[in-house]
Amino acid sequence: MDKKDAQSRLMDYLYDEMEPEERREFEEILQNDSALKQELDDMQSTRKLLQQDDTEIKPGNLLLIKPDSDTSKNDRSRFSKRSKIFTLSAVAAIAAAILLSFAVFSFMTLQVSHTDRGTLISFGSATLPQETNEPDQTEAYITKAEFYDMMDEVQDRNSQVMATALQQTREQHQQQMEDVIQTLTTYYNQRRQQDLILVSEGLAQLEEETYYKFLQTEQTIEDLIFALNVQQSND
Amino acid sequence: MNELLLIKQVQKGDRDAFSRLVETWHGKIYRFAYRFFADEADAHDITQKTFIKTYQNVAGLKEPEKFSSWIYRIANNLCLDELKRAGRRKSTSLEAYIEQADGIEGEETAPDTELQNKELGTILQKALLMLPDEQRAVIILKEYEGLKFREIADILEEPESTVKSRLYYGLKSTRRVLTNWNIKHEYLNNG
Repeated sequence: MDKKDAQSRLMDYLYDEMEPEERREFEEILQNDSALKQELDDMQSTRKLLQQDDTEIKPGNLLLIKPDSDTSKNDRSRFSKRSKIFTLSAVAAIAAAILLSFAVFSFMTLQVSHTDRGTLISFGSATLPQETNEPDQTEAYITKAEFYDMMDEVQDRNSQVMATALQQTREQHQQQMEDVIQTLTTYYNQRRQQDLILVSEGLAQLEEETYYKFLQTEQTIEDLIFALNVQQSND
Repeated sequence: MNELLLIKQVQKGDRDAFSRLVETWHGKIYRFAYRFFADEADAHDITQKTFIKTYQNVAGLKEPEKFSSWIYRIANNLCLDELKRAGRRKSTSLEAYIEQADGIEGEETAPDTELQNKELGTILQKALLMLPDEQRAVIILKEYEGLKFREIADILEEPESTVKSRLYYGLKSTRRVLTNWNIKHEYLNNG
């Protein structure tokens, strides 16, 4: 059994990856080879020590981010994702505007009612005027044209509310983007600083090693000169 | 669910299946990377990259039954790449460290008997970091992941004899480092 073979069988035995017959044979060899037996004991104690490492290794949450190199492949999907985000933002803004309108109108208690004399729109509680023959009493009613004007005005207000909501959403997105850029910038700066520190340390170590070697060379030369001098003086 | 079936579903583009696969393998890959670097941030980074590569390339995996070896190979290669990228300053050479250890041998350090388990864990992680990369990978896969020699050979794409040889020298080197740290009497000789 040569050295390589002995190592290989030692590992098989140590990790219990031997056939029973082979195992018996190896145990016989061990009984007659104290050096190999000692090596096995050393390996077993080292293994036992390694197994005592009960450090709790807990993985954190995993966030999978595709690397930059794949961006070209995924441009289309990224674009569609961006479109989706924009569409979602728009829908959210419209919903917010409608809710806001409802809130405003419910606060003002808009009343719209139709009668055979026209359409009555009022804010707050309004009671329909009693029918009378006096022409002055018709002032509470509005014409169809005025009704459309008013609706146009309401639509304009809705548009303004929506525009404001959209503007706010855009500003929020911009703010988030700026935050992300700021975070990335900080991160890359830190990495750069770390890299610089590593480079500096490397240079310092190199310098130290070179200096040490220089000293060693100097010492060797001095020793040689000394030895030559001694030899010359002996001659 | 059977892992082979799960992998085949992932190969067909089933994202839920991929999530389940990540759940299954997340801990193992993180543990491997953590023991390789003894650093949480590096371990997290390697784990993340491993699953991204897995997602990108799993469709082309011709032998799904060898997924285990394949994903460990990805993780191991990424660890080696990271070492290259970092200019190999994340690990100290064994010889250099033993020199350092010789230097501090006479200093007042915590006596063996006072070593707590936590400290022991830290010391063992440091000892692993001292080993050459290929020996460290084999020790982690064998000792902590409990893989067979055949499986490790498959992961590293090396003959079994090479794997055994690396493990042999890895264990010897670990013992050497620990002995130099004066840990011999309380632990190593109680084996």
